[in-house]
Amino acid sequence: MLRFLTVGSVLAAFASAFVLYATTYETRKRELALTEAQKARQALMREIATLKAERAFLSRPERIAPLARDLGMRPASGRQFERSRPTAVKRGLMGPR
Amino acid sequence: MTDRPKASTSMTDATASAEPPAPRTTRAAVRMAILMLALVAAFGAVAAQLVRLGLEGQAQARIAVTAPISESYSRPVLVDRDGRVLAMDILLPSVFADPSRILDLDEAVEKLSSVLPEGTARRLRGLLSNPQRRFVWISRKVSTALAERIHNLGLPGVSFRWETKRTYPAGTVAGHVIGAVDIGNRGIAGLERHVDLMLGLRMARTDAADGRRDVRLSLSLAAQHAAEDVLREAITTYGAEAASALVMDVNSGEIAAAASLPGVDPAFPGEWVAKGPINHAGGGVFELGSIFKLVTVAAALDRGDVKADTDVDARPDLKFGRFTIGDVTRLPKRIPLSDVIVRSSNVASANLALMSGAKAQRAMLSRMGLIGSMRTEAGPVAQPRAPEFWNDLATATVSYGHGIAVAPIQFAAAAAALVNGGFRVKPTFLAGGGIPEPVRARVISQTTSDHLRAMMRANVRDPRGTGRLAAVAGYDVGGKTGTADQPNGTKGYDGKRVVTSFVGAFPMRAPKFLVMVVLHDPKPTDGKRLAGLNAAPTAADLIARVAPILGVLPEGNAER
Repeated sequence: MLRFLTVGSVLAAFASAFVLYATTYETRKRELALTEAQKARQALMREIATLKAERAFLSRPERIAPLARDLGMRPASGRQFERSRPTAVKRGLMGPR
Repeated sequence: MTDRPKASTSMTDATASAEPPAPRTTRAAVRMAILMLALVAAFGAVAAQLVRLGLEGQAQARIAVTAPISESYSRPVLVDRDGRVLAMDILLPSVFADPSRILDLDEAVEKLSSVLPEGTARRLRGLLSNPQRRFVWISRKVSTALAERIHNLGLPGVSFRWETKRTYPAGTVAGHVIGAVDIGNRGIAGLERHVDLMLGLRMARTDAADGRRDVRLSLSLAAQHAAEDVLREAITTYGAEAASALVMDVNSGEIAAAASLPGVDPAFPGEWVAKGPINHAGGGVFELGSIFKLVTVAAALDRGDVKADTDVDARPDLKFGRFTIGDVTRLPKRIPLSDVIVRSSNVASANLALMSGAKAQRAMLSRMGLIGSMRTEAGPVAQPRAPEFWNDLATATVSYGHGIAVAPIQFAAAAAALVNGGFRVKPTFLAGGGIPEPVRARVISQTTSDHLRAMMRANVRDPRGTGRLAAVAGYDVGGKTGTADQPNGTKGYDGKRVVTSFVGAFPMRAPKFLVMVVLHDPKPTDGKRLAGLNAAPTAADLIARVAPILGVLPEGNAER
């Protein structure tokens, strides 16, 4: 009985050593994958930051204003605003029904 | 001797049974087999693992993904009130070298010089020729394209690391206010410096994100650009040397636009910090002229020295020894109080101030925050210059804005209190950075503020008003002009150089925004250097541009 226990223990020790060994490598593998993902995330964040800066740079008023003028546009002015008239309400098109 | 036959007998018995040897051999064989199996299993496992690793690839050494970047700090993004980016960090490669690993100095210098800007060969040779040094910067924060070209040179000992670089996508817009950072990304001026003081420095990591929330400013990029655009036109039209403009929420003190021309580029602080170009809105003090009459009238009304319908003595040529105070236009001997503003009478203003007295005037100026120090998030505002001896002459001249010099932003804060119902305003460049309404201190009464608003509106509406050219259809503009001779550097004034200003608000029935325009040394318009002819129309252009941007709709029946 004792011999079976000894043999079983030895086999269990080998098995757990193998499992441990495999787990270590699995962990390292996952760590590598995580590192890669983090690096990819950082690269993406760098890219996003650069794109944001580029978008802001390309849409800066100093650049847009002359382009808009060339297209015949003018800065917004008070004359472009019109308050809504009450006629629509009178006609029953708006308001509670 | 007696034992031997016993032993012999027992051996004979054992031989006779013939059982023990066979089981022993079997057990040993079984043990060996188990051991061998275990060994085979162990080696098999190792072999299997090796095969697996060979097929899948082995884990490499751990890479520190958040290595700190030396001497470099990350900064939060600065956005305007609408969320548009004004300043942000990006990561750029910096090139460094380990001189001890440079194999051929001449080759390295020649190759690097071929891709780097001209004139770097000598510097590079100096940097790389000392193998005792293990780290030298070749070029910091270069473009990725340049970094790639350097990388392609294939020079041993030359390497790269990421560093944060502050970028200002809007270019020079609001440059004076935004400020600048140094090579390590630390704020050295303006709002950039304030952000460091407010949020603290954070060492940059290899990931670009600072991790802190964006800092939302009260500035509106669109309004700021419009203000700078209007000022540029004004400088061209009126031949001014410099100009500044402010657009401020009269209740919260939040500044929507703070323009000062000539402008500065925050991306190149070395070009302007050394030269020290002045921020004309807050970095310098100027005698602002007749816009101070608003304070004089407010003081007299608030003290009860006069009422809104009181007539004021405006007899010409008020004398103080060898000094005489006069008016630009001839006026009746007594004028209504509102005409101190509308007709901009120096004499009537001086008489009002003398009626209240120097002490009262000083107290009023102090209460309005015009003779104390001021600080905004963009930095300290230039200290006002007040008369050393506050005699009657000083009281008289200060009443119409001479002999006292303040920064436009400081006056704008005082003027906001005059039209917002009488509450002190603290100018701020941060969204939500003003004094909360429940704790605002009252500096003048509501009635006084109401009278001031009416007078300012009259000054723009009345055909005789000095501010009539500031009218904008539909926006109910009110304000006051100011023209002040510039000191000549000795003890007097330069008769040919003036500072013209306009301070106003819109819509005057319930003011939302204050505008202030200051032009420095404008050339004559129709032979005159008067604020009513240059600063007032500039303010009108400014209001017409920024009001729609700031969401102020015109009144239906637009009247100028």
